[in-house]
Amino acid sequence: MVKLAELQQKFASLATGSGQPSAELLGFIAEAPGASASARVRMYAENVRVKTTDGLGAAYKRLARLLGPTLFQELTDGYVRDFPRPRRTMEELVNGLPAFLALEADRWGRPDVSDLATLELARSEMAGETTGNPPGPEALAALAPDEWPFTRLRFIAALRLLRLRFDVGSLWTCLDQGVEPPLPAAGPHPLLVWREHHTVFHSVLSAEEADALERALAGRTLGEVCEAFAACEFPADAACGALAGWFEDHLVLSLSTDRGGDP
Amino acid sequence: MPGTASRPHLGHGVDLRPEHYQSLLEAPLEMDWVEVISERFVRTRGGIRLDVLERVRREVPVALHGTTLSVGSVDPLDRDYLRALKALADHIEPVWVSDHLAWSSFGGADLDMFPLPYTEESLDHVVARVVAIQEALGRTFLLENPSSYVAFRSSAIRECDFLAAVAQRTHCGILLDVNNVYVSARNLGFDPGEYLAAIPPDRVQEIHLAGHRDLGGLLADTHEGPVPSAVWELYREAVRRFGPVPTIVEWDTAVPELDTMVAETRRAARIEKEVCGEAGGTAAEVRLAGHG
Repeated sequence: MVKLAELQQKFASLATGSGQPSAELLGFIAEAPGASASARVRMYAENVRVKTTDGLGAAYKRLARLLGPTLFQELTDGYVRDFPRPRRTMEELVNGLPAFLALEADRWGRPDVSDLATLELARSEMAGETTGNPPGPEALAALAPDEWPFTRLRFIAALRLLRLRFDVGSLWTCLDQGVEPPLPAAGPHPLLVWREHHTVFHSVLSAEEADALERALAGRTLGEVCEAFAACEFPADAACGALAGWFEDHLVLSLSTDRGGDP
Repeated sequence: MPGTASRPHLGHGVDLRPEHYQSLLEAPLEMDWVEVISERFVRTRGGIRLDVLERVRREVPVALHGTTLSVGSVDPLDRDYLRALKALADHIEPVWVSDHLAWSSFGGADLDMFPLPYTEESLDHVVARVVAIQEALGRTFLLENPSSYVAFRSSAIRECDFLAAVAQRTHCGILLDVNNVYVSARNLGFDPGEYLAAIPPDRVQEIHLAGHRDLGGLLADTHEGPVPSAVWELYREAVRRFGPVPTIVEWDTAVPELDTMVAETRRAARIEKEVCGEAGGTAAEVRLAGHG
């Protein structure tokens, strides 16, 4: 009698391989009216394929919309086939898709598909992160001018700064509105993704604001953060505008001022 | 009374779908209880999904229903997942936790719900796994009958008897998926009435209803469309046999508006009331004569 482990190994090979059952596996199956043993076991392989495509399609709705069902199926089939074994959980498949797309982006018709997937993944991650109870702009207004150089910001967990190569913000909008997607626009495109209450947002940042936010996220002082705007025509205005925006969008969870022994 | 068990009658509800999260946050709940797919909520650090679940839990009972415990797999139990599931259960306090009489992973890879040969080896294996799961979770665990497209030559036990034996040996509950009974019966050529007759009534804690797709030679358990009339008839038979049982309507493919799913729960409540009289259709404690 076939052992449980052997039977599961044969079935798993069917689902993760070609989808065609081996003669050995078919030999385990009892005959029943209505369909052949081969047709029956292929149902399981097809279910795995459909489940995988559905899982990736649910995680990457805009990417699936952009590619269309045929190309998206081709993508998921190829991705699963090339995914390093032995582990292949759905979570791993979802998390690894942007990197896979980056390897051969042109194969999928546009070079910006990886960036689009990166944005979708980040938005999905933000939906699962906490926001805490961030203060409003009054917290920044209450900060005395002489405290700025010694003040650091702590941000909500539901925030990501993405450094993308293409303008997928516009692509996203077109996909949502059902209009023809624009041609891929290359160039540095820093994008901020965050959640406020039950809504996830993303917004394109200027290069200066992205640098400033990167410094702030790294725990640098506001003095060092504001230096990111030094090349702007009006550095102080640009810095104040960006910082006020972070508080208005409830990105900042708290402020801490440490004068480092200053009495 | 010796051999008597009880179960809460939670009424009729739906499997919570991500498509409905927003409406659930904005409108009052119009169902007796809900079930959620555990995997959508484990390891979440907070965020929208947990907000939805907490909000729903404040209003109605919630059951956690999983698809990846891989009860029948020869892989080691995923202890990390079990710990995360326990943490979720401790936070949400569900009425129970459930998963399937199937295996869904091999060598660490996620597959789909695959069938078991119903042998003594499988029975011992599943019993040991269910005992370990119940110990890890520290709460009521239900095992659901799968939908099947194949039967194995090596199977020496009927699925219904296998399920009953697992329940008897582990004291777990049974989540009876009526659609799965119907789909498997059609695909494998057995009598669904005989299947129900072999299930111990005192172990049936929950019923699932769903739709399927007719592929010609086989029925596919797609959870799509309204519950078919043949499944409603089998549900009526199940209620006649088991009394009022907490019932959940599942709908996973081409998911409709929540109202459409709620309408299906009302139909289930009507059938229960027709069969059981006033005892059916309302949430109440139901006492059952023991099996055997």
